[in-house]
Amino acid sequence: MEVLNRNVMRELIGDDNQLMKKFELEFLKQARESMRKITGLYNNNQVVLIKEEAHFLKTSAKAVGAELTADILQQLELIAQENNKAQCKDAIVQLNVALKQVYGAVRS
Amino acid sequence: MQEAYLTQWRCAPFAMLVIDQKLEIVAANQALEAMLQLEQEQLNGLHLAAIFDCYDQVLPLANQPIKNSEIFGQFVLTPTTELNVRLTVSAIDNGIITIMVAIAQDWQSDFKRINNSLSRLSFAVDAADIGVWEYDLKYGGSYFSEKCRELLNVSSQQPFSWQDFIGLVYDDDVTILEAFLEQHVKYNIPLNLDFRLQVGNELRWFHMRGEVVLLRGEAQNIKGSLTDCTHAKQIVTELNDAMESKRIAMDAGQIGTWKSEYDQQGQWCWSWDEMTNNMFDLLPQQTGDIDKLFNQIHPEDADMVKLALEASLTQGIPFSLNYRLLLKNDDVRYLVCRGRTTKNIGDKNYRIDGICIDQSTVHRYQQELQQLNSELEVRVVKRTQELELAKEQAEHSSQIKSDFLAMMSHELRTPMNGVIGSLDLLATSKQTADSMDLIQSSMTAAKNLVFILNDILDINKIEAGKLSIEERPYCLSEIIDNVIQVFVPIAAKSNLILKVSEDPGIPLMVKGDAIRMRQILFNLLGNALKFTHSTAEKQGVVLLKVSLDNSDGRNLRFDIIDNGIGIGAQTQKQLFKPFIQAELSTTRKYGGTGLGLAICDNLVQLMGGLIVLTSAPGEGSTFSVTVPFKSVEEQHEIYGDALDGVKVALRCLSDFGQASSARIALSLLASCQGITVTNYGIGDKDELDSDATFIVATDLSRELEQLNGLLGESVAGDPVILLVCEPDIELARYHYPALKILRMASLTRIQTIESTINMIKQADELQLDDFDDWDLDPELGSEDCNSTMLTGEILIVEDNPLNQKLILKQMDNLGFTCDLAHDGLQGIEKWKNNDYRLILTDCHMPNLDGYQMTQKIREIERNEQRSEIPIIAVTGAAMSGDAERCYELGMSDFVSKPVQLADLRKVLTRWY
Repeated sequence: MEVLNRNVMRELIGDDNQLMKKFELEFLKQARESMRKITGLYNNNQVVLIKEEAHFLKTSAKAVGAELTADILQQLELIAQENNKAQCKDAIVQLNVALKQVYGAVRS
Repeated sequence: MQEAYLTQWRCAPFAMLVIDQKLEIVAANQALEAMLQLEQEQLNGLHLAAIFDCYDQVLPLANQPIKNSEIFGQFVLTPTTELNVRLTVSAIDNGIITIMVAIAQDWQSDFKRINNSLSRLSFAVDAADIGVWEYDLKYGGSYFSEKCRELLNVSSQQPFSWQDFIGLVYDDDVTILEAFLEQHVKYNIPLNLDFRLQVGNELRWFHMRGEVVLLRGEAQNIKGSLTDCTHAKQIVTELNDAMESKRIAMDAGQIGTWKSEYDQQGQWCWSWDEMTNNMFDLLPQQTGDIDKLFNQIHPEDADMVKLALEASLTQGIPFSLNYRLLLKNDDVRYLVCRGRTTKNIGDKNYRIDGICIDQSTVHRYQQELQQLNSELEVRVVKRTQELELAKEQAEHSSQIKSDFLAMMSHELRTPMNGVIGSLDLLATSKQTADSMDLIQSSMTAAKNLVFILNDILDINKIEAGKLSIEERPYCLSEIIDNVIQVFVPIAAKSNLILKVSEDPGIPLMVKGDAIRMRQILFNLLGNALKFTHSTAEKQGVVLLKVSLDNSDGRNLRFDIIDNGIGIGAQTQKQLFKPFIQAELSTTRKYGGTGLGLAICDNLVQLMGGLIVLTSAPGEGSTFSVTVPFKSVEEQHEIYGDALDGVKVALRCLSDFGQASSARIALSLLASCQGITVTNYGIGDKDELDSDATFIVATDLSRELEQLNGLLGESVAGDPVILLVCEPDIELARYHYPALKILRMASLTRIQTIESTINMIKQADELQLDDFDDWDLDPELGSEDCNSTMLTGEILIVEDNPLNQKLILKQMDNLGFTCDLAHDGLQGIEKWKNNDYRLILTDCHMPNLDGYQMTQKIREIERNEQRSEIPIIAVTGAAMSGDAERCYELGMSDFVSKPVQLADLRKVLTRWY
């Protein structure tokens, strides 16, 4: 499972690296916004609502090939549904790390 | 009795008889028969008393007769024949008494008779407490009977002369007594007088009577009686007293008395006193003449008086009548008469006693008073009408004024809100410092104007009786906190200390009108801060103290105490009236409308409470508000289990902070169940076992080192709230920017609880990087998708912008132009309005998802008999069962996300 599997995007839109990069940056913008929402929901004890946001970002992550991120979001979706705050916190921290890695991969 | 003896007894020359215990004659001898000229048979069985009349009142034989005792009496033989006899008891044998009967000599009978009479007289005299005395005029000797000595308290053995007797006479009475004696002897004037004698230690009244005894025309001695009349004298004295009192009272009251008695001839005999006589204008000789009296009664009242009097005399009805007299000079007198009848032992009315009072003067005054009253009534009615008219006019004017004020206030408030809103917006834009100052000034002025308008509206509502008090559960501590937090910066700006003290025993939730309670506190606290100043000599302090009223615990008490300018006694009386301020100079200096206290007073009254003001010029003021409150039965769990199981540590840096520390502990413990609060000692260096720590610093500049040590050791890493005094706020912020810093004096209950909750919450919060430093340009623009028109025969329904752009790009690559909808609702709308050949839809979307949209479209197609449009699901799940669900809900096909170009091409080939 890769931090950023560019083959995924390639298969979707073809071998246009510049466009791929734009989609990746678009994903990161979306991720930044989603992370704020997810953290806010967690701090306001609205853990169940995290599920929707995780699902939303997950489809984008899959599309750009952010496989590790998509996987964490998949887990977070399930954990949030169970209203498990402690595990949620761990998953969010992992997500945070994973997104940083994606950013690193995009910028490298 | 033996026969021989009986014969001998029968023949005895002395008359004898035998009686038994019942005094019945058993036998009589011949001599007795001869004496009485009766036969034995006639005597036998007779009771002795039947033939013998004893000179003694009681026959002595009836009780234990004594042998040889003699009884004198008469044998009554016929009504006209009597025989004086002497009976001598000669033998008593076993209850049988033998009596010898002898004819008594006349002198014996006389002596016995006189002796008996004297004995009876002596007895009677003694029984009547009459002493007997005798004084020999010639030789000066004297005699005093036993009773006389007893009355004078002189024993029978004691020598007692006439001089001794005179010696007992009260000094003032000696001359009278001697004069009476002399007059009696010389001129035979009856000796009959009362005088006083010293008897023992008592001075008593005696009545003396006497008669001189003459021998051959010469006075020999005086004999007489002496009786103690002290009691009678007392009665007479008291009676005289009572009579005199009555006479004086009657005279003083101008009350006449009258009476009538039913005499033996069956006539009512009338009498009355001089006062009554004068009242009826009668001559003295006419006193008692009832006809003359009736002549004086006014002819119109005479019959009424006669009837009433008749009813009293015959039926005993109390006589009570007011009537008039018509005198000869045509004067009219008004009398009040009252009388009462008395019944005799035969239950017959036998007398009537009454009074009469001349009420002419009173009657005249009454007439004058009545006349005056009538005139006054007319004037009062007229004046009342005038006043009512004036009142109506005043009320009407007041109503017009109130309506106008209310209308104007309301109309002004609306544009003022617009002004404030505009100023708010203006303040958020970039302005120069000068412009910002002007904006802030305008904002303050506008808000003040709105406050004044609100006050005018309130006072109008109150005066019109249209203001009602709500009764809903609310958190009193929140209201207090709210008010305090508003005034904290104002107090700080004026260099005043604002203190709050809340009784932890007050329930968090109470029933009442939260908005009005806030208004009252806001007004009173605002006034206190307004009229309190800090000087070099005195720190200005305002305290809000909230407690349960001690009397019954059903009242809340708010004391707003300041050490400001104070209010004089005269001004205090006016203070709660609308538009009244303490003094004109106050208005000039401090401004304000003078409505605040009037509104507060009215609101408190509407709540059923009371405001009391205690103040003196220069000594500050205390406004005490007492209002009843209802506790909410089920106290809402305001904070839920937010502090359940939480451990709070309290740490004072000096002893001066212990009171604040205790206040924090009480606030937390009273409001949150399941919380643990521990107060650690000043020098306690143990690590604190806590989730949050309050540190109380009363003199921060001196306690910095100690605090740094504490923060670095015991409480390192724990959430900390630092409580400091007002002057240390800036110092605390400078040294500890990361710490939560609170003012010790104005720390409210809610602030304590919520600060603790926030501390715990923050400790549990995620603090992640917000990726603000990411460089994410350039942006993915729609031009990258070549679908600026967003029209075509295919509708894409997708909410995720990235996915939207991706699929549009894919479709573009495949040579299709597409339209786009952001959710199911928009998808349906677009489908209705366009003629698409295919719909590609995401399944999971807000508002209306892909499944629901498909169901809706299929339903419309069926209803409108339209041909089915192919709907392809683009699902991110792609799990087993997803395909079935898509087909079940009416979808035509599906592809998984992310959609591979090949999959897309395949499905388009199939359905487009």
